[in-house]
Amino acid sequence: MRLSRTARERATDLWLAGPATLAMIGLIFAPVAIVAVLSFTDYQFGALTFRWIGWENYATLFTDPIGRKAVTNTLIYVAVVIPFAMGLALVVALGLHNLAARFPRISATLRAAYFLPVAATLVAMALAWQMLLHPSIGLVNQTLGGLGLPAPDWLSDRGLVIYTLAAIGIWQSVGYNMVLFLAGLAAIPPDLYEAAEVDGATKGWERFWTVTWPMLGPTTLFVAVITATQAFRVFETVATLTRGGPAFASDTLVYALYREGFEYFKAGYASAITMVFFVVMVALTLAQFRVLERRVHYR
Amino acid sequence: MIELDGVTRRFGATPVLHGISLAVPEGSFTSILGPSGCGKSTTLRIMAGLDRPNEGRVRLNGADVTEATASERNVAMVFQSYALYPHLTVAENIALPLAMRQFSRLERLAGVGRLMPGAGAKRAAISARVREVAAMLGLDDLLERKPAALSGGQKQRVAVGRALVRDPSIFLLDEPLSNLDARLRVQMRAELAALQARTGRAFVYVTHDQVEAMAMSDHVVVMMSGRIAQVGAPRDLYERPATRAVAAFIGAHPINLLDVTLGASGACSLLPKLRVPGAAGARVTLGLRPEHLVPAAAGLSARLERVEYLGAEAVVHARLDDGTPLRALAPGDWAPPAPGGALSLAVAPERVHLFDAETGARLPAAAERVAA
Amino acid sequence: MRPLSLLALLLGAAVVLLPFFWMVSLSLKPADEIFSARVDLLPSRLAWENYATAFTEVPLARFLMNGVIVCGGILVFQVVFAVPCAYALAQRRFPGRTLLFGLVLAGLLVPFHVTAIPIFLGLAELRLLNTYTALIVPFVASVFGIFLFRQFFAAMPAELFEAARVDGLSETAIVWRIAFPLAWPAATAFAVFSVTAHWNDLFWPLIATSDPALATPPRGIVYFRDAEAGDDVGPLMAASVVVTTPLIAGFLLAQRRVTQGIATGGLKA
Repeated sequence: MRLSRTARERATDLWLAGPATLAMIGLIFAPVAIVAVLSFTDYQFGALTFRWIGWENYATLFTDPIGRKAVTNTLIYVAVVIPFAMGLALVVALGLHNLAARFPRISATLRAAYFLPVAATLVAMALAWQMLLHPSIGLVNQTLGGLGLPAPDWLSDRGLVIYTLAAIGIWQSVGYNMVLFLAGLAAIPPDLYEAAEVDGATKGWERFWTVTWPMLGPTTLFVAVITATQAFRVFETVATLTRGGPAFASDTLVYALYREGFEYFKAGYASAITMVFFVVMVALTLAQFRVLERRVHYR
Repeated sequence: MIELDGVTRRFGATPVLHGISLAVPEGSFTSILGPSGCGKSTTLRIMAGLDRPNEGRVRLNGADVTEATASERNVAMVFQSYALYPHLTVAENIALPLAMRQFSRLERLAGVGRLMPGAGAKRAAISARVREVAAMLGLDDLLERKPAALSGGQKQRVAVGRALVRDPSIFLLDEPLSNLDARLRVQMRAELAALQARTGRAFVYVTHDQVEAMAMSDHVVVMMSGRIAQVGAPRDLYERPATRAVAAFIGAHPINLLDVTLGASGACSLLPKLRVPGAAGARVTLGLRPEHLVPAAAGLSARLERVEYLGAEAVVHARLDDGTPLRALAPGDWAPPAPGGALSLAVAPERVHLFDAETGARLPAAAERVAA
Repeated sequence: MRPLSLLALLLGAAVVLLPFFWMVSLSLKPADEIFSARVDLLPSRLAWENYATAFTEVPLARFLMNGVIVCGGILVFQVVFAVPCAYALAQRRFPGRTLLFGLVLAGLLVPFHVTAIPIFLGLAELRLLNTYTALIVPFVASVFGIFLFRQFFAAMPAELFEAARVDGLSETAIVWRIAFPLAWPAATAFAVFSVTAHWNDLFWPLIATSDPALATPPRGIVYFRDAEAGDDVGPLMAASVVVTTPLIAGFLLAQRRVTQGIATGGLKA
């Protein structure tokens, strides 16, 4: 017997949306649930049994010196990257925006140059940085030495390494933020500047504070959240350049999750790290949705 | 032919169609006419299979197709926005419905199709048919263009071509001319009517423009708030509107509707010659079309407010002595009095439409009731 | 003021480009120049043999091919899963549609790292680690893709799809013959972000594979660096140049579209 039209339409819907729904459940939601459960166990990859240990994994992460290092390093990294990656991007965007009026060609070329690190393969570029910062044969230290300045050990100095990685992080994200700022600048109606001029704001700085900065507000918030989510994910540079060392001085959350889970096979503990990382990311992404909504309302 | 039988459609709790029953005979040009929101588009979409009735049946050439999807019914439709596929050329737009129905799934795959026996011949047949349709619509030179490069009128023709290319049981047209400019609309009106005569298929034409409906169709279905108000030939609708609402909707110039109270033995103080069946004190609505209300030596006495001169004729805005506004039509060469001046408007009693003031239903024609 | 700010912008760009410059310069320097104490910005002669060495010392061509297979496989599956689902969400009415869209939005909250452990467990259970499957399958459900395509389809007029239904197209045919070709701008934007993300990813290849024959480009150069040959700076930099070039070239070709894509939605893959 032929199925009713309703049944046939539902079958079509299932055929269209079913595979993606199943994949989504199997590859996203079920794993999240499993991670949440595992984080309360002492499960190890390959083990046959596990014990429920409550919040112990979380306690370890926040009390154990190594666990705490990962947390504090990540926070330092993020705290350094956000202001610099945003400030520099804003300065560059303002410069290129003004330049575009007179020399559009030069401005476009420079924009591509600043964006290049975003498109490049980070692991390969990390190796290039490693060569650049090499204590003996690196261009940076050779130049510093030539100038008679001290030549620090960028990637093996415990006090310095996380800042070195942050600098690479800044280098990598300035271009992306710059594009967002440029879009924000392009969206400011020119007559606002004319109005500001009529009102007496004639100097560049005055114009910036009366028009540009307030109008960029929503973009700035959005860029801040995007930069934060990207910074919290830092992994490639750590894995390539330091492996969290020396002595966990550059350990970060995602790298710790990788090391504990997939090198030491402590699935339970790695799950707890994952959950902490996840909670931070959810908070930031929700903030991002909020900001996106706001950005739309402003227009 | 297509038949609707007791079709009801609700969107949520809101009913938009209340048990519509309707038969579009083979070979007819039927318009569904009504103000926006009356359910005419929903009716058409139910005929197409794009929408489904909550109750009632749809029959196409006698077969029950209520449960069939649009692609399973052999119907063609022209949309208000034309709905041309922007990424396909004119030729591909016209060919698509044929290709989808004539090729098997395997043959449609670009690479495989070429290798299948018989596919080449089908392809050639399709392209011949496309050229034939294009020639009929004057699209020969546009076949390789994309829709974005066409004018509104050309897009309209492509949309018609896409419907015409196969031999559907019925053609459904949803306000197809509403996006064209006035002159093109008149031209396309004639072309569509000629096309319908040529194919001999039933056309169902949805419009809110009564001029279009009257000019093109041999049947008009007037819909008002989800119900069929009247079905008939254009002339029937004009001469014998079934309700006050239909009378108000049909006609190039809006009809004058006057509520009056009957005197003794159905006398009407306004038109002494008229006798209306009904008790003294009953209320009826008189419908007077402006074109039947002409300035004359004797008649309703009124004061002129202003005149809209249109060339061949002039619309006269006047007020009766009791202040009721009235529109009349005068010949273009009529010499009006000064604004505020008195004039008389004559009406033939057989031209007066009578409606029940309560229900709006038509009362037996006035002419039949005129006292000898 | 003007010339000064232009100078600052040029200097900034020079700093940003410095690692690229140094990478290319080292990749063309003979070994003795690399390890000399003198600072030489440019090689004295172009040592193309570094590139030859990179391709012979490690299976660099194999790494590149793996990158193409993995990125291509991921992209194809993502599109095949996401486009019909996005079409259904945008242009069809079915019970659970709002719930499904809610799932998609919730899915946007989950970074891949969060799902890594259970997916690793699952693949280990199925004995699929160290296969292309392990590198591709975890990414086939792209909620970002579903979301992007849904937004695009929702903005298309419903009449277009109704016309296709009347013309006799099945819903599957509508998805692939009408909706998908019309979503080309969304598809290219999505492809750029998907390919960039997975070509550059190190996290998952590091976890899911230990077989160098399956290494994607970033995983491959990490092998190279960690191998004894890793002290061979010239060839290592040559390999880095080779790995980075395809995306840089792609970006320079599609520059406008990429930056517009970022600017309009703050896109992320």
